[in-house]
Amino acid sequence: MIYSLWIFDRHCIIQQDPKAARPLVGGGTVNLNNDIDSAKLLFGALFSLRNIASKLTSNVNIIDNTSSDLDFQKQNYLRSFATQNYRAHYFETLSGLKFVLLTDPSIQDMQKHLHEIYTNFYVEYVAKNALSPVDFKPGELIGSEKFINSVDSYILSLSVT
Amino acid sequence: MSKAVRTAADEIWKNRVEKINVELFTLTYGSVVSQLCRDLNNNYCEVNKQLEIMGENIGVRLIEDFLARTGAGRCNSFKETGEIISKVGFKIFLNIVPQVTNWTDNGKQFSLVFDENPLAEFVELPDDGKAVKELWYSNVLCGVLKGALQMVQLDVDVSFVSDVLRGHDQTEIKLRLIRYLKDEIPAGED
Repeated sequence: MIYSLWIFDRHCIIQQDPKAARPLVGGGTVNLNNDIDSAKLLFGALFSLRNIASKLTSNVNIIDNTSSDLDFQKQNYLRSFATQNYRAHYFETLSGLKFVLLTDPSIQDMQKHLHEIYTNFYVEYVAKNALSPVDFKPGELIGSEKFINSVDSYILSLSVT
Repeated sequence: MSKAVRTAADEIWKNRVEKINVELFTLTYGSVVSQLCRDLNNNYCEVNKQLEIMGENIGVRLIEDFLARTGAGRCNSFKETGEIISKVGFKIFLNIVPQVTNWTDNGKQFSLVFDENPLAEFVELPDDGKAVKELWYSNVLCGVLKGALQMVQLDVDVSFVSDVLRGHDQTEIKLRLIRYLKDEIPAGED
């Protein structure tokens, strides 16, 4: 069961909450009446977890001493976190886009699908669409019908739904 | 690393990139530059600036395509960034592999030297005595590099050093790392 998809850009602004999003049933872990607030909370939680994930890794990956002040090089990526009622899958691109998919906690790994949404739909219909902005304004959602429709049908076609 | 990277980039170029006719590409770029020159009354410094801005707008989008196609991870050093720009970036988008040279000792500056430049294939600069001194014909490349690198948190200063169109021996672009940009964090509630 897939509940909803959120996309945050590098300025931490929510871009998308597609039609395929279904309300999270039971539990009330997400406040349905206040989407913006829940997005902020979700983002905050993921952002902290992501930083913890990279802080807790030893920096064995740094081979270049001249740039030892860079904490983002520690390569340990957050993939998902789970609660009793849902699991939040997290995929971040190097350009700072963050894709978050809320699903049933029994679904273990959605990295592949999030990557697919990025490469096949986001890049094709948003990044390559010259008239769609690169930097979204606060509160602005991705307007591309093609993007929304194809993401919706992709998510609905996944066998896990 | 470099051999595996090269084979991978080769494979992407061969199988996963749509190609267009090089003359169409070159002439399209040429007409953009010449229109800019006309619009700006041959103020070539301004033309350079406009080309760079256009390039940046391309770069910030192109990087997404690059990341999606290559699945590249974060580079461990600016040296690695240089290699990737040349052997993967230029390879898959323009099918050229500029040499990466002239590293400074601190590893924060290098040059890309172009043996061939598809943008400038049929070009001769106008004979007005000014263009040879002021116009960087392929300045859009600087913008593309700057825009793309900025999206992966590298603040880089990119500029032409020399261009065969101006009668120099080689075409060279210099990249200097200014700083790594920090992650943005969400604005506080209050």
